[in-house]
Parts: sequence; C-alpha cells; structure tokens
Amino acid sequence: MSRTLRLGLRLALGGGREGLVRLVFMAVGVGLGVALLLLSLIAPHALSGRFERMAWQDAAYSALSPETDDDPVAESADGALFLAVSDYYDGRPMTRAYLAALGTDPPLPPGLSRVPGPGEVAASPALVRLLESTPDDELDARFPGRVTMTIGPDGLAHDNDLVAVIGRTPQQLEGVRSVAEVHGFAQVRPTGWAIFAILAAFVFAGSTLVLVPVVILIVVVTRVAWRQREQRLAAIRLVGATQSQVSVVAAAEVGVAAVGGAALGWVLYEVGRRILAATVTFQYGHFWLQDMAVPPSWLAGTLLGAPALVMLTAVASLRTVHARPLAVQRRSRRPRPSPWMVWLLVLGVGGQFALLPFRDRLAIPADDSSRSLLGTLVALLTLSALVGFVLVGPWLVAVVGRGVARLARSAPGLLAARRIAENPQTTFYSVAAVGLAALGLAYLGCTVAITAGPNTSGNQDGPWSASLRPGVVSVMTGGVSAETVEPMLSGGAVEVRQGYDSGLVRCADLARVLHVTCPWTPDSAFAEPVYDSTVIDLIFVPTDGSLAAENRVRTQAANLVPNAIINSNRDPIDYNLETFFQDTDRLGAVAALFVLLVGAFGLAASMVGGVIERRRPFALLRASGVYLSELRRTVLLETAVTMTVVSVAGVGVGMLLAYASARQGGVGWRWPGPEMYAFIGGGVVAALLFSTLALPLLNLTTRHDAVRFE
Amino acid sequence: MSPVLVGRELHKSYGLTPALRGASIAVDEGEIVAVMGPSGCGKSTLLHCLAGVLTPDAGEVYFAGERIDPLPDRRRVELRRSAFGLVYQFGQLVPELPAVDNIALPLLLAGQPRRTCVSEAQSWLTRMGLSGLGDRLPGELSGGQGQRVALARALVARPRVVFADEPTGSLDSVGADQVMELLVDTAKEQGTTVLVVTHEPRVAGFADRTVLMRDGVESVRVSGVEPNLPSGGDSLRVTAWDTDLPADRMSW
Repeated sequence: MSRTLRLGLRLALGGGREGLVRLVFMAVGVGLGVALLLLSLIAPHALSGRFERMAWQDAAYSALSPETDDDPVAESADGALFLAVSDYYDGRPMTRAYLAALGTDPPLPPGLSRVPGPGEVAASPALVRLLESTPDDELDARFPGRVTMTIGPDGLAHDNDLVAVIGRTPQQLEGVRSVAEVHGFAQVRPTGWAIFAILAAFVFAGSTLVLVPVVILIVVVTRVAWRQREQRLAAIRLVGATQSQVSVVAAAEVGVAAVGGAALGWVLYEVGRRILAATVTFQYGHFWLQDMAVPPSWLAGTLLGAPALVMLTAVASLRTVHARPLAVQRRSRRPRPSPWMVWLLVLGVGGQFALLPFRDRLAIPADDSSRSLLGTLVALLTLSALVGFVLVGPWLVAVVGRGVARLARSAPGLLAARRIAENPQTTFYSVAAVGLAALGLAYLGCTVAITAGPNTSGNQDGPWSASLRPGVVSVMTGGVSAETVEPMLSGGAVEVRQGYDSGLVRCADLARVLHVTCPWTPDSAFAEPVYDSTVIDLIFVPTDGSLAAENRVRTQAANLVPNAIINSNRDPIDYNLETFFQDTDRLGAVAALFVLLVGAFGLAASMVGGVIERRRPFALLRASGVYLSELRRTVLLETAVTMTVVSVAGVGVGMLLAYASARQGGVGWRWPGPEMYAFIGGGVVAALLFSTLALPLLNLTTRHDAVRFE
Repeated sequence: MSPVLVGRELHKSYGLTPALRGASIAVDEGEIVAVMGPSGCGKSTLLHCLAGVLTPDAGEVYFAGERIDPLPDRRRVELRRSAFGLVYQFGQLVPELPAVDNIALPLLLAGQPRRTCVSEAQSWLTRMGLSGLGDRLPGELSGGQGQRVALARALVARPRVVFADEPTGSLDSVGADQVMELLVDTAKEQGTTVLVVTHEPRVAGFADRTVLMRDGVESVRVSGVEPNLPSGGDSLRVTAWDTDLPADRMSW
C-alpha cells in the first residue's frame, strides 16, 4: 500500500513540465473552489453573529417575557434595572439603553469593561463621532451624563452601530414602563422575529446556489487531462497492477494537487474574508472580522472534504474505462440522460403553485420560535427545483445538441453539436453555474420587497396606518400623565388621549399631522372623544421640518419619557425588514455574480479539459487542413450554445419560482425590465469571454508537433 | 512522368536532435511509395515536411511544380485541405462524431451541402465494407474499422496525394492487409499518389517503390531511379531494392 502510494506520488510530482502544469492547474482550481465555497458559507455565520452581538439589548424583553425559553443566564446576584429603546438619527437607527446597578455586582453588557455609573455614558465609537459633530441640544442631551467609555465590538452589531448605555440610579428608572430587572446579558437570543425565518430561507437558497457550482468546478478541474491520466494508469495496469493499486495511484496522484489546492483555498479564504469585512456593508455597517468566518468545524469539513471529493472523483472515474494495449477505452456509451429527471423540477415549481390554496393556513407558525410550515415547504420545494434543474439539464442540452446536429451546415457547427449531444453531462455541468446564476438573477429581477410605503392617500385601514406628514414627530409614550409631557404639548402638538380601547383625538387635529381626511367614518371610535382622559398615549409634534428641529423634539421626548418610541417620516418604520430586503436584494445580486464568477472559472476549466481531452484528434484535424479559427469556433460554439440554452431555462425557472413566491406573499411580483435581461445577457457574455482565456491552449496543444509526440 | 511531389536536401531538427539531414525524395503522380526505416530515422518527419505540416529548417519542397515550404501557414493549410489527405496510426477520428460524419468532415469543411456530404460519406462506408456502421462512434468501432473510416476520410475529398503515417501500426496482419488493399485499390482507381511511412515490410510490399531511411545515419536511401536527386555526398547513398525481397533479407 505504501509503495503504491509512493508510486502515485512519484507519478504526480515527476511528470515533467506538463505534469507540473497539470498539478498547478488542478490545485488552483480546487483552491478557488474551496475559497469560494468557504466565503459563501460565511454568510449565515456573519448574519447570526451580527444579531447575536445586539441580542443583549433584548435582556429586558426576555426578563419580562416568562414564556421565553431564552432567559439570560444569571451572571450576578445583585442584578440591574435595564431598558433598551430604539431611536433614530436622520433615519439611521440607534439604541438608547438605560442601566441602573442594584448592588455592587451588577451584570455587565457585552463590550463594556465596567457598568457605567449614574451620570456616565458608554457610547459606541460611531455615536461618539456623531455626538462630536452634532449640536448638544439636538443629540447630546438625549444621553444625559458624560461619555466616559466606549463600547467594544462584542456589544456592537457593526462598526457604525449607534449605541449608548446610560448609567442611571435605580430611583431614576423606577416606574418607567418596560424597565426590567436583569441578572445577565449572556445567551440572550432574539426570538420570534419574522426576519429570521426570511433570513434562513434566503441563506438556504443562497448556499445551495453557490454549493452546486463549486462542487461542479472541483469535479471539472479534477477531470482535466483525465484521458492522459487514464492512459498512464492503464499502462500501470498492464504491467500487473491490480484495480485497487491503480485506484490508490490515481487517488494519490490527484490527492497531491487537491491537498495543495485546499491549502491554497484556505489562504485565499483568509485573504478574501478580510477584504469582505473591509468592503461589504449590510444594514449601515461592515461585518466584524470575527463574524466573517466559518465555524471551525465547517472549515475543517471543507478543507478535508474537497480533497476527498477530488480523490473520490478520480477513483470513480476509473470504473468507466477499460485498459487496452494501446490505450484505454470507455466500457460503453455513457447512459443517455433521462427526461424523467424533470419530475423533481416539476415537483419543486408545481408544488409551490399547488400550495397556494392552503397558504393562509400553512403560513401560521406553530409557535413563535419556529418557522411556518409554509416557509419550510417552500424552502424544500425550492431546493427540489434547483436540484431538478441541475439533474434535467443534461437531458435538455442533449436534445438541443441532437437538434442542432441535424440542422448543422458547417463543420464547426456539426462538431460542436455532436460534442454537446454525445457529452451532455460534461457540457451541461460546465455551464450549470451560469444557468443557476441566471435563475437567481431572474428570481431577484422579478420580485420586489413588500414594505410599508408611505400612505399619503388618506383613510385606509385606520388613521394609525396613515403616515406622518413631513416634519411631524410622533412620540408613543405607552401611557403617561399629561403633567409628564407638559413641555411638549405647546406649539400645536396633537395629543392622543387614552380611550376605552383606542386613542381619542379630534379628526381635524389628526389631519394636521397625518395623511388622513375628515370626517372619519361615523362608526369609528377615532373620530371624536367620548370621554375625558388624562392619560396621553401619543403626541404628534409638528416642527419646521428641519433635522435640527426634529432632533430637539426627540431629545426632549426621550428625557421626559425614556421608553417612548419616537418617529418621524425620515425613519424607516419597518426598519429591519425594509433595509433587510433592500440589502438582501443587493447581496442577492452579488451572490448571483459570485456564482457567475464560479461558473466562469468552471467554464474555463471545462474548456481546458475539453481541449486537452481532444488534443490529438484536433491536432490531426489541423494537420489535415482544418484552420485553427475553425477549431476555435467549434469550442466556442459548444460553450455558447449550451450556455444560452441553460441560461434561458434558468431564467424561465427563476421567473416561475418568483411568481410562485409572489402569490404566496412575502415578496411582490414585477415584470422584469430590459435591464434584467441585459444584466443576465451581459453576465453570460462575460462568462463566455472569461472562458476564452483557455483558447490560447487550443493553439498550443494542437500544434503540429502534438501529432507526433502525443 | 514528372514528379508531383519533390523534397530536396531537407533538414529538420527538434531542438538539438537532428531528424533529417539532407533527405531528398521525388514521387510521381499516381505512384505509391513506401518510406521504410527503423524507429527514429526521420520517416514521419520527412512525411510531415512533404505534406506541409512541418516546415523544414533547410531544403525545398515542391508540390505540382510549386514550391510550398516557404508558403505562409494559411496557404499550406489550404493545400492540405484541398489536395492532400492524411492517415495516421490511430486517434485521428473525432470521438464525438459518428463514422459517417467523420468521413463527411472534409467535404463539409470544403463548404459542400450537408446532404451531399452525408450521401458521399455513406457511399464511402459501403466501399470500405462498413455498411450499417455509419452511426457508430469511433470508440465503438474495432481498430481495423476505425482505420478504414480514417482512410475513407482521407480519400473522400479526392486528394492528389495521400500521406499515411504508419496506417496499420495498431492493426493485426489481416486488418493491415485489408486497410492497405483498400488504400492501394482506391488510390489506383482515383489516380491518387500515396506516400506511406511504415516500418513493416509487409506494408511496404503494397507500394510501387520503397524508400529506405537509414537508422542512425540520418541519410536517405532510395530505391529505383531518382534522376532529380542532388548528389548527397558521403552520407547519401542510393540503393536499388526489390520490393519482393523477403523480409529476412532486408538488411542495411
């Protein structure tokens, strides 16, 4: 065994210049595949890392929600009073947290070295910069006290996070609504957020979209120059090596390149994640480098899995050839791809349409922490459609190849079409990544995020669903006495008093601050007050519309009612979902381009493999009078025809999936504009152009001396 | 009869390794000539220089009176496409093309209609005794069948000269005889000149004339009368050789 292994290693390393080029090519291909896979696997970890870093802000919510399973672990016996409130500055979200130690050993929020005492403020670096650049009455006074410390990365979602922890005395926080006694901040997980279900679906689809092309790339690269390797191995077989010895030699031979490639991939991944951490922004900030990493188990799995995949591919390929005295021969024609593989694609797409009548029932999650059955089924059906697309692809290109072969009038056309028809698996898998990228881009191009846009059309579901008029600041107090908010009630402010089960306000007043029209419907409880109340739920404060004026009102409100939810029409009210969809749309396009890049590499590797595999017949055709340009046209036609067919199919499947998603809700449907087709077409052409980098090899490998020295 | 193909004082080296040192040859129209010699003596290099596949380092190559060795690559490709046919030991068939399309390829490259090309290729399949095998891929044909397809492909465009480099090298004697018989018969019928490189006397026996290349001396020995050959100095000798001579008496 060890001797056989040594022989394999000798063959791998002692193959002269050509052998070395082959090794390097394979190592680079595997390295790129490994790096791209690792970088794509970063996404879920980076996102969950971001949410975990801001999870401590939910400590009060968790303490006040006894049904939550994720109560923080008690870190201190003394505990602290805690409240975190969402706020905005010019549309940018910020968090104001109040903390009052209840003893000498209070729990410590992440990112802090000690708890800020009364009169002290701990601020994030981005907030410190903002405070320094903003007049005191607009912002500084909103964080009463002196900034004595900065919050470290452990407590910040990203580098531009605007967070402050304001030290208070217990007396100052007593009686403030939503304040809770907490005994720890660790292991708090935000739960029940719809965004997590959506996030999981996106990341799942994205990972599948990247994983398949990367595996194909690695397999394609492994099979480059396979014919030559088969001949070497056949020669070893002929001198008495057993099948298992040949398998060991084959595995060792490619294993050297694969291990080198995995190491290269690791290096590229380390460089790549640093570049991504420095350049990619998501929801206003960069990701922390620590979050831009795959878990160690995933890293180890990928670094070991890629060489294993390469070696398995090498050994599996041996089973299809038969050693003969002068060469090796394939045992038989490869099995023709079957159209029956289409069932998985039909199941994936058709199943989503079949679910439509039941969507309302299935969309309700069993409990707050789980995804809805609809979400799970849609994710599985989407996976089925993607896998079905990959499985049915060879059959599709074989049909097209046979059709083109029948119609071909030129030699390059015939050569290309026959190649497609005879090797549909090889030709399809070389362009599968491009097809998947087209599918993803078509999906994104046909869907649009459903977000709460400004309602300026007047009464709809109720006055509270109408949007604020420009310059108006709304302060949702949660119910405070009029005395508490007295300073805010002058200057045309509209107060909403607490009613029996809703707010009470004059419609005419409401129309000054909201986009509503009066009179309101007669049966509405919102139209006129029916009894006098002294508790104020909501205040609308008109301003001159300047950012400074709005911020002065916000600061005043925050100091009067620390737990108040304050908004103006500058704020993305549905912040998380809205910005998430916007950013996901953008990141989705980047992911599709990423897949396209993987596809372009795969395409180039496949073209190199195809040229090397046919170097002798091509060289002899050239010697017999075929122009190099005709061979070039042949190779390009093979790729272009297949890529066009697969991309069109990908766009079709992507549009169907998008339409199904839109009918299920969550996203809206839009007919793609010419820019989407231009984007996809441009990507396909770019991938084709990239693959032409392999064309000089055609000239080199089919030169006349290749006829003799093959 | 004037020679259709002439090589004069051809020199060719691969790096520091000389393959041809002043080799000369002349082949008449319709003649079948075998070039023999042991491995490494430069037979294939001579054939490739004459066919315009390789450019000699020195010397001259004439086809139909026109000097072809200084022609640009594109012109030489055109020549090979229109006037020459090439057959090799193995591996010249395009693996994805069925036999009929492999044969039709030169006609398609010449711009003939697909229907005509296929019909012509089918007739060549019959002629080569391969009826019914037109849809088979090269990998599904036996060695002899594959070589007959290659032969048909080389002849289908009715070239003036067929260059065959060890065309029977991978065949048994029965298969080799079949291929050579087909080659010679068709060439005679079409008036095609054939230059066969081989190290097998049995194959050379099908030729009108045999040219011997000396192993290790890098010189040319030519049978028959070669009036246009330049004087070869010490290294060039001309030897008359009866092609009917038994193999065991062929020593040089």
